[in-house]
Amino acid sequence: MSKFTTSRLPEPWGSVINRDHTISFRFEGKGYQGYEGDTLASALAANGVMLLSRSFKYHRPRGAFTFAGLDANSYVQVGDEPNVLADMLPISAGLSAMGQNYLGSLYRDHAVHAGRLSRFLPVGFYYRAFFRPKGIWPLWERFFRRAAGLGKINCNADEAYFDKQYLFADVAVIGGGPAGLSAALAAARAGANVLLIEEAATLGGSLNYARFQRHRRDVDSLRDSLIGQVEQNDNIRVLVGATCNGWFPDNWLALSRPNRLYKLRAKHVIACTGSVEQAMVFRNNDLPGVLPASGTQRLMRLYGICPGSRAVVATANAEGYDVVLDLLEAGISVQAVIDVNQSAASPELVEQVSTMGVAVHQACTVGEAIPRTGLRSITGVVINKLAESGEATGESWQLDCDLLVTSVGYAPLGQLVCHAGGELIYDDALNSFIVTNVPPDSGLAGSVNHRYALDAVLADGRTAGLDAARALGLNPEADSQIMPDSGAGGINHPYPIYPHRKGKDFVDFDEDQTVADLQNAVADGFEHPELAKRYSTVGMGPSQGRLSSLNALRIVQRVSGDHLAGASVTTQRPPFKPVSFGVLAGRSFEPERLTPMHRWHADNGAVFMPAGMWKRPAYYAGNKDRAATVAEQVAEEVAVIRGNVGVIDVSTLGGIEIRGPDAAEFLNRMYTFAYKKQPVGRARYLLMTDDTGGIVDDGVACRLDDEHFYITTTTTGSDTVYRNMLRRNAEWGLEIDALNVTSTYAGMNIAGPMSRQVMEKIESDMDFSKDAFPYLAVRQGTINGIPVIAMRVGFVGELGYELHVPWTQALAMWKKLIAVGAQFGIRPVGVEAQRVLRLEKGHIIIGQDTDSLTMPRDAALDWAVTSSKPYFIGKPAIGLSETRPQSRLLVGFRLLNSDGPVPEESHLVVRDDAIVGRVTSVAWSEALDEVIGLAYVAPEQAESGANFQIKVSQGLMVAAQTVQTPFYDPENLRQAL
Amino acid sequence: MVHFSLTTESGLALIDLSVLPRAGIKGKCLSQWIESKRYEVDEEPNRAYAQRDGVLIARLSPGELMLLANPADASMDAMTYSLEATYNCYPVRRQDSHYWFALTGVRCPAMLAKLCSVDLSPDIFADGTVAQTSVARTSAVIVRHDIEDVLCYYLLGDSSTILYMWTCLVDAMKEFDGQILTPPALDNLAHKT
Repeated sequence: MSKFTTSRLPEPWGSVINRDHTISFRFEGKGYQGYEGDTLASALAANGVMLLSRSFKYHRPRGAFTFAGLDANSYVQVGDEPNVLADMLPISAGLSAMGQNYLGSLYRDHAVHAGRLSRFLPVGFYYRAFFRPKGIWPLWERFFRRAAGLGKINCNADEAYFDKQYLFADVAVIGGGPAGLSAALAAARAGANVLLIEEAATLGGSLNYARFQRHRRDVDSLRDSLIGQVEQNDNIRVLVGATCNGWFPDNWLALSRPNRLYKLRAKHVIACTGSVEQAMVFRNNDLPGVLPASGTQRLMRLYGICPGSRAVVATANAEGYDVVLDLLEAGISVQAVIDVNQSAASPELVEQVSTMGVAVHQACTVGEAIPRTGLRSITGVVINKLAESGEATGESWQLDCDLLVTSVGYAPLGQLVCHAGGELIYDDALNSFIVTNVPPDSGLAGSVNHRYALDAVLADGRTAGLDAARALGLNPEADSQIMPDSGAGGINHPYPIYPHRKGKDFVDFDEDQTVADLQNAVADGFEHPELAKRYSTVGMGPSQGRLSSLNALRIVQRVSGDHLAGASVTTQRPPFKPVSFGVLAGRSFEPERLTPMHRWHADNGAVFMPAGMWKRPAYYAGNKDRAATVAEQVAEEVAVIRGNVGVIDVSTLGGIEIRGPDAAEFLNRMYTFAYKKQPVGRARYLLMTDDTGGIVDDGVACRLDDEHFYITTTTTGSDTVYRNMLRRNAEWGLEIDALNVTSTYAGMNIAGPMSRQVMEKIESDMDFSKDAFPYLAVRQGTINGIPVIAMRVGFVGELGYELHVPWTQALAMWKKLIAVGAQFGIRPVGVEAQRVLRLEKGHIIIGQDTDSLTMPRDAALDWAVTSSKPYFIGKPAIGLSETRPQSRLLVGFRLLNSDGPVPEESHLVVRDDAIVGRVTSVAWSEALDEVIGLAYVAPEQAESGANFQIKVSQGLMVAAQTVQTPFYDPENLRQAL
Repeated sequence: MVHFSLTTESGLALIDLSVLPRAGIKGKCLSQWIESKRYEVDEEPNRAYAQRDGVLIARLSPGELMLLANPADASMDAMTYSLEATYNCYPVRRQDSHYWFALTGVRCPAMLAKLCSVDLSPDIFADGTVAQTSVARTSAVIVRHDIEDVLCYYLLGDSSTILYMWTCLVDAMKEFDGQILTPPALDNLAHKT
C-alpha cells in the first residue's frame, strides 16, 4: 500500500495559480509554501496535508471535500477568527492558521476516543439523559458548554474595519459559471445593466474544471470566449469573491466579502447558483482521501494538485468517467471504476476507459474505505457486488488505493431561492430536488434548474437572460433556439446509500450523523423530515444540509414508508454560508449632533455627556488650579447661578416655527394648554400628551405675532414632535405651516440675579429692564447686530433670559456674553448643575420624571390642562382617567437622614412589601443643605409631611418625607425679579 | 488639506461650501414669488434649476425652494438675508440650518453608495435631480449639479451634524483616494471654459 501523497501537476494543470510567485505560510505552527492563487486548503494539499480539522462529535479527521467552500470540513482558525473556510481562503504572506475542534493537537486528538463511545451516544441522547438524578444538569451543562461550538473566539479581539455598500442593478446574476455567463450576456446585450456575482476569485464556475464529456481543451476555449465577451460588454459589472448570503423580498440581496456587506437592489434576479455534488454513503466515507468527482477536478484543474497516486472511482454517471479520464491524463493510476448501475449509463465511456486499461466493475459499490492507522488517509476500499435489487450480494473484495473518487449525483443549490419563497421538492424522475415557487421578477438557469449538459446549461442561461430583459421592458432578440436535452436524466443515483453493520457511514459530516442515527430517529417516532432534522440535528450544522439533506430525506422517507416524490427539504434560512459578525455589523453609523459652541466648551474644560444624539457639557472641569470632585464642581456651578450669573448652552432644545391663520388653533389641538388668547410677545408652557393621555413632551410657546409661534421642545423630542405635527395636520387640514428650526437657532440661557446687568451691558436694541421685559415676555431684536429671539423663562428658578440666535452667529454671541459677563463673574454652567437647579424648583424633565403612563395629574401638571377646550390630543383619555381613582403621584421628597444611604433614580418606593412608586430624580442641594428628590408615591403618601420608605442598594430601607415643591424659593420670587 | 486644481479626471473630491450663501423660501404662493424674482423654476419637485445668474434653485416640494449661490461668486450674499415674507411666503434660514458640501468626480456614486441607499449613478440620477433622503443615518438633501464635465453632487444636511458627516465622508473616501479641496477648486472649474 502506498503512502498518500500529493504533488503539483505540470501546466496547464493549475489554471488559477501563479507558479512564479511563492508564498510562505504556517499551519498548525509549521511552515509551508504555496503559490499565489492557492487557497489554504489547496496549498496544504500540495504539501501532502489533507487533514484540516476534526469533526464536531466524534473528532474524526476531516479534510476539504468540495474545494468550493460548501462543506464544513475545511473550517480553520485564523488568528482571532474561527470557522474560516480553508478552501476559500487565499494564502498570503505571513498567514498562520490552526485546525479546529481537537483536544491536544490536530494530529493527536485525545477526544478522538469519543468515536469509540458512539454506541452510547445515539441520536437524541442529550434529550434523554443528563436530567437524572434531579439537579445533575448544571454539572453536565458545564461539560457540554465546553464541548459545544467550533473554533475559539477572542472576546478581547481588536476592532477591525468593516463597512457596507449599496449596489444597484437591472439584473443580478448570481453565479459566474456557464449559465451565469450566458444569462448575463443575453440580458446585457438587450440593454440591461447587469451585475454578475461570483463567489470564487475568477469567473467560469464548472467551466474551469469539468469536462462535460468533451475534450477539456474545448471547454477551456468556450470559457475563455464567454469570459472575454463578458469583459468587453459595458453593460456588465462583475463582482468576484462575493458570496450571496441572503435573498430578501423585493430582490434585496445580501452579498458579503471578507470586510464588506453589499446590499444589492435588483429589478430582476437570475439564480445560476449551480449544484453541489452529494456524498456516497458507506463506512468511512468521511475520511481524507475520499473525494467527490468535482472536488477532485477542482484540485487538479484549478490548483494543479495530484490528489493521489492510485485511485478508485465509484460512479453512477458519466461525470465519474470524466474524472477517470482526468486522472489518467494527469498520470494517476486508476485501479478500477466501480459503477453502481446495473448497466452503464454511457457504454461509450465504459469502452473508452476500458481501452485505456482501466477495469470497470459494473453493478458494484464501495462497502467501506479502509483507513490508515490514525484515520488520516485511506489505504484501500472494500468492493461489494450488488444484486439487481441494489442490495449487496455478499460477494466482496478489496482494492488498494490512496484516493477514492465518488460521483453519484448532485443537489441544486436552491437555498437562496428558498430565502425568497422558493421550495426544494424531491422529483422522482430526476432522483433529486427541483426548485419550485421561484419568486416573481426572478429566474433560474443551469444546474440549479436541473440542466447539466453544457449545451442545455448555456441555452438555459440565455433564455433566463432574455426573459429578464423582457421583464424589464426591453426588446431583446428572439429566443428561437430549441432547448437541448438537459442531461439530468441518470445523473443522480436514486439511493447511493450503503449502510455498514459497524456504522461510521456518514450522512451528515457536520454533525457526524450516520444512517443508523436517522433510522433511530424515525424509530423513536420522529418520522416527519422536519422532526427528524430537529431530533437528529441532521442538516443543522454550518453547511445547512447542502451535502446531507438529499440522502437524509431518502433514508427518512424509506424507513418511515412515506413517498419520496413531492417531499420537501426543511426550511432554508440566511445566511447561505457562515458570515462574520463584523460583516453583518459593518461600519456603525452613530450620528452625533454638536452645538455651535461645542469647540468652545471643549477648549474650556467641558466634560461632555450624551443627550440623545447630542453631546452636552455635563460640567466644566478644565483650567482648574486645584483638584475638585465632580460634585464640588457641580456645586460651584449651581452656586454661580444662585449667587451671580451663569450661562447654559441650551441649543439642543428643539425648535419649531408654526405659521398661518390657524397657528393658535393648531397648538390648541397639539398641546394641553390654551393658546388662542396668548398675547403676542408672551411665552406660555407647552405640555403634549399622546392619545392615551400620557405626557410625551413639553416646552415653551412664544407668540411672535398673531399667526406665528416659535416653540421649543425637549432635546430628544424635536423630531418626533415635528413628525407628529405634520401627520396630525395631514388629517386636520388646518391652514398652518410647520418648520423644524432646531438647528437654525442655537440657544443660551443667561441666569442668575446679575443676568439683567449683563444683558443691559450688551449693545442691543432691546430693553431688558424689569418693566419692559417682564417674566414670560418674548422679544425680538438684535444684540451686537445679531438677530435674537429673547424670552424670560425660569427653568432654573432665577432671573434669566433665554436667547435664541441664528446658528452661524451663536458662537459670536456666546463669546460676547462671556466677555461682557466677566465683570459679574459669569461662568459656563453644565447640564448636571442645571438638573440640580431645576430639581430645587421642582421642575420635571420629561422622560426622566415621567414615563409613558404618566398623565398630567400624576405629575401635578393639571394646571397646564385646559379642559374647557373642545379637543386636544389625549383629552378623551385624560377625561376618562379622572373618573378612576389615582394610583400614584409625583411628589417632592427629602431624606429624613441626609447622612445615610442616598437613593438613586429608579429605586423603589415600597409600602408593606408592595411597590407603590419609584424615585425619578435625586440630588444633594447645597442651598437646602439636604438630599432632595422627586418620586412617585401612593396618593395617601402625597400629603406634605407624609413619610415613606425607599428601598436602596443591598435592600436597605431609607426613610423619606413628602415635601411641597418648589423646594427652593417657594414663592417663585427670584425668577420674576 | 490638499490644494490642487480640480479636473475632469479627478476621481473624487470633497469640498466644504458651507461658507457660501444659501437660503430657503416656503409658502403657498411660491409661483408669484418666483415670477417676481424672474427665476425659472418648474412645478416638478425634487429637481434643481440653474438660473442665469448662477444661482441653483432646488424645489424641495410644491411649497418650498432652496437657493444655493453660485460657487464662482457670492452674489447671493445680500439676498440670503433679504428674502422677505411676501406673497404669503416666508424665508428659511438655510445658511444656519444646513451645512453644504460638494462631492465631485466619477467615483462619487460608488463612495456615496457606502452611506446612502439611493442609486446616485449618473445614468439613473440625472443632472438636476434632488433626493431628500438619509445619508449615514441622518437626513440630507442631495442635489446633482454637474459643473462643466465634472460629476458633482451637493450634499446638504443638519448643521449640528456637520462634523459627524465630514468624518463619515472622509472615512468613506479613503478607498477611493478622495481629496479634500477648498471652494476655489470648484470656482476654477466653473471658469475653465
